[in-house]
Amino acid sequence: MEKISRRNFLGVTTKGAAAGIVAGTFAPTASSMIGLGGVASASAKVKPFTFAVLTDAHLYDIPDHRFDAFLEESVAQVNALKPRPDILIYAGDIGQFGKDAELEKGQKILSKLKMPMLVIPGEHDYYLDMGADWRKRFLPKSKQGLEAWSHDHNGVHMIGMNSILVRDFWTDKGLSDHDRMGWLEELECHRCGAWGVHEKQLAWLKKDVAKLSPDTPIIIFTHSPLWDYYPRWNFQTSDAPEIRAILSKFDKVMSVHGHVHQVVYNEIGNMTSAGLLSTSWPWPYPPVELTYPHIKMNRQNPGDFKDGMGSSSVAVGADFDGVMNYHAFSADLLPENVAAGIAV
Amino acid sequence: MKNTMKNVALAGVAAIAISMAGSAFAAKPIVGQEAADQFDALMAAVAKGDNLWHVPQGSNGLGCGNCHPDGSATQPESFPKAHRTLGGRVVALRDMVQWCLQAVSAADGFDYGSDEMIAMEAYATYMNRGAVIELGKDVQTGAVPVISGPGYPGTTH
Repeated sequence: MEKISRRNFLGVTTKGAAAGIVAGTFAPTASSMIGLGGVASASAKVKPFTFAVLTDAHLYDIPDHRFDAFLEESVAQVNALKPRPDILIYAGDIGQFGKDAELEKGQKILSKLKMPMLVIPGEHDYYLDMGADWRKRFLPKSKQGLEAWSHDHNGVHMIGMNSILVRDFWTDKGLSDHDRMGWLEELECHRCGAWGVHEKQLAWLKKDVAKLSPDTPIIIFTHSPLWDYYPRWNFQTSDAPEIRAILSKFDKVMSVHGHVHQVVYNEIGNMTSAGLLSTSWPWPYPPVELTYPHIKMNRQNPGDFKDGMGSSSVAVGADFDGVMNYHAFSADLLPENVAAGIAV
Repeated sequence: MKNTMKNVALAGVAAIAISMAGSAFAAKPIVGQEAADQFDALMAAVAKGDNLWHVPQGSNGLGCGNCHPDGSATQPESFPKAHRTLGGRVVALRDMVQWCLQAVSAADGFDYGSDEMIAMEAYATYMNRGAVIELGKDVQTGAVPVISGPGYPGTTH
């Protein structure tokens, strides 16, 4: 693997890819509870480190929008963490409508990060021009057209994938680029189809991990969850079962995802899964039963525009034991058990 | 004593009159085409509310759908209630909708009684249909589960 630098966000580190109503059906186990670590740790040793995650800024092409300030505050939060995170992953939806002006604004704010950054796309970054401006700003020239990457850090194999791909629903309907983005801008779009990573990225993933030993620690980043949380809102990835199957040979896989704008946790097989706080607005919990209902955030105060958001970081231990720490803008957001950090 | 007797007599006459009027003026159940027309009218209002819900109404690009997909976390069944955000006053759902439009979305809001405000209320309430009325409830819940479509019938939206 190549080394990364802040000035070359993604490219030098990447290996390119060609490129229910009940939330999950997996019974919790005692070992999955907070602080116990639900999935057995990988045996390969890790040099302990921390990584930070930001997601879902949803910046508008409007001057001095309050979401600009929220993203700036989240950048300041992670810059101030001690120890400073080695690396930051941006988990999608920098912009709201995919406009280059939104992405440019985000790139400018994120340039203040004091650590290198890896980026994956969200649907709001993508469907105005099918990711052209996003690739231009956040993928290096050598990787244009490739939207999945892997990066080795301190003994951990990190993977990022574009999970927001949908089949073409717009051509037959004669939709303009603007209308296509407008449809997908709505969380409840019921005419857009389910998101996924699709065949090319699955083939890339299979090849990417083929030679890795089962005790290799794996962390995978996607915009949407790799489990069926609430498909109505694309709180899912349609080919997550295939992804989990490819990664099933590993002792332990950490999945970290954006899109849900909330604290949420799940486990499937060898995979732990944790959702992230946004820096724009919080989503309410959908009408499903959570398998881990004790890992939630509190109801936010609508009169406090900053409540419900923040940044996140994960401390990775020597045995690939991880602790997700949420850094909420408002102190009242997190119940004590979540504020203390959750095992991932 | 005389007044008491007079009051009793008047009450008796009134009771008879109400009884007769009841049989004469009781509305028949609304069924058939009339019921269908009423439901269609309601669904048209819900669809109008859905459209308004998901379009930015103000200057900062935010719509109600940003924070309340499918009308989640609106809790129509909990209003009227005293609301901290509105100074602890007892308010109706429309007051909260108006506050969100004006404070969160930087919009002018809709006139009370306007088709737009009624449509917003209709959408939020229909998407939370079946919830038990519990005024003052302070627990945030999701709306009705939606498997496919917009969450209500009779629309091409």
